[in-house]
Amino acid sequence: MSQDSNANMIVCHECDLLQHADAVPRRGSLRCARCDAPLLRWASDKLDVPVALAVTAAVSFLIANIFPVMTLEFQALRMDATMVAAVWQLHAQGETLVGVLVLVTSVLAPAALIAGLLWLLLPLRLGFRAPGFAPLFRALMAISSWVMVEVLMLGVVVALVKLGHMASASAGIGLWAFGATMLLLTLLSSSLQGSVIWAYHEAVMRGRDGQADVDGKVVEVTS
Amino acid sequence: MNAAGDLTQSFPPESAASRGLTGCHACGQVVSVVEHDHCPRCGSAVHLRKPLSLTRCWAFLIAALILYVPANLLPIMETTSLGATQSNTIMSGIILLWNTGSWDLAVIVFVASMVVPLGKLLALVVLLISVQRKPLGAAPQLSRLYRLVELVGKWSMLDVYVVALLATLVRFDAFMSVHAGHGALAFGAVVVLTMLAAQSFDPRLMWDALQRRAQGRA
Ligand SMILES: [Zn+2]
Ligand SMILES: [Zn+2]
Repeated sequence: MSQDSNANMIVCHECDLLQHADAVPRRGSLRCARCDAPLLRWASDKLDVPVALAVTAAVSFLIANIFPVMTLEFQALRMDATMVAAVWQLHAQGETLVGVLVLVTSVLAPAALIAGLLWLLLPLRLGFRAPGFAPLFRALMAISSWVMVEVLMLGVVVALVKLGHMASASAGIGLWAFGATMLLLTLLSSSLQGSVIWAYHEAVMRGRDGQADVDGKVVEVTS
Repeated sequence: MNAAGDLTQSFPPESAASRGLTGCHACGQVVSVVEHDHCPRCGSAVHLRKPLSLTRCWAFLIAALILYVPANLLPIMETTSLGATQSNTIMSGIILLWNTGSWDLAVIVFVASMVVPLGKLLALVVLLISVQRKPLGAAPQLSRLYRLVELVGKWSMLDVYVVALLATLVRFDAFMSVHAGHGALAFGAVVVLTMLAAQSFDPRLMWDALQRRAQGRA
């Protein structure tokens, strides 16, 4: 089968039904005709939006990791917790593997996701393909399910309540920055669909080759 | 690559696999596995079905089941206060939350730490049996179950984060301190293993099995 005849076809990743890709609804998802799995979510064809969101996410995630997410005050004592400090403390208590788990899911994976997305999208916005585009893309797709910023947010809420009984616990700037990062990643999620990233890529490459104008409909399959 | 041509015969006629096609798991491109073993667009390895899906899923699932025992029996957290040490397992932590009046959070933690991991393990067993023995539900229901398993998996990490934060904040030497316990490690491992099990499971196998049974009956 030639590349062209496959162009408007999609395969459901859950039931393997080969089907024609209809227009993606602005809200919600295009769903599989047989199993109702969400296949495609609408994404803007403008690269400006995801690039701006990713830059903002990078800044807020940096703030989230510099400032404490929580502070505990007890009489004259004061304890701050950043996520890196939490990882270090787990290591100091002999639970290094738990520390690694926290480090990967709350610091490294989100950082890699945001940095990787910027590495892919920012050069595209400027009209060229970043070095290592395809390998980095595959790594990003593999990482994305291990980003747990939203779970961490809930964890802080539980910790605040648990500590509220014995001392004055308060949320720090880091927590609000984590919240902002979570929100930005949610807004970015439609641009984080594998097919959307490649649609951006193809639109830019086509535009650069001067063969066709970018008509810019990003209509593709989620992975 | 010739083998792929014969292989496609065993798939249901509606499936992309029966035409030697598959959707790239990373970028969604429709790829012919007869012509390619890597996606021509993004370079991911392409397969008609995830390799060793059921074996890998069972392996992760059994490992998770085994670790589920220490995850619930070992303390995830030890609180030392004025020389007295109190150990908390996941369940006793939930009961403590309930007794101190935070019943709403107790319910949230109970769902994230008890209902979700156990539900996930059960759901994966149901899905595996549905593929390998006989369907334990209609295909759309099983599909929805699989989607739910994928969706809720990571929320079980909640308790691990809570322990990490408490251990970092509560360090008032002799007066009071919190230490992470080995239960946290076992519990974190259960979460990771069930996530890996869910990622290994190929939902397309359910539809293959259902189609095969329907054909067998006709
Ligand atoms: Zn489907
Ligand atoms: Zn691909």
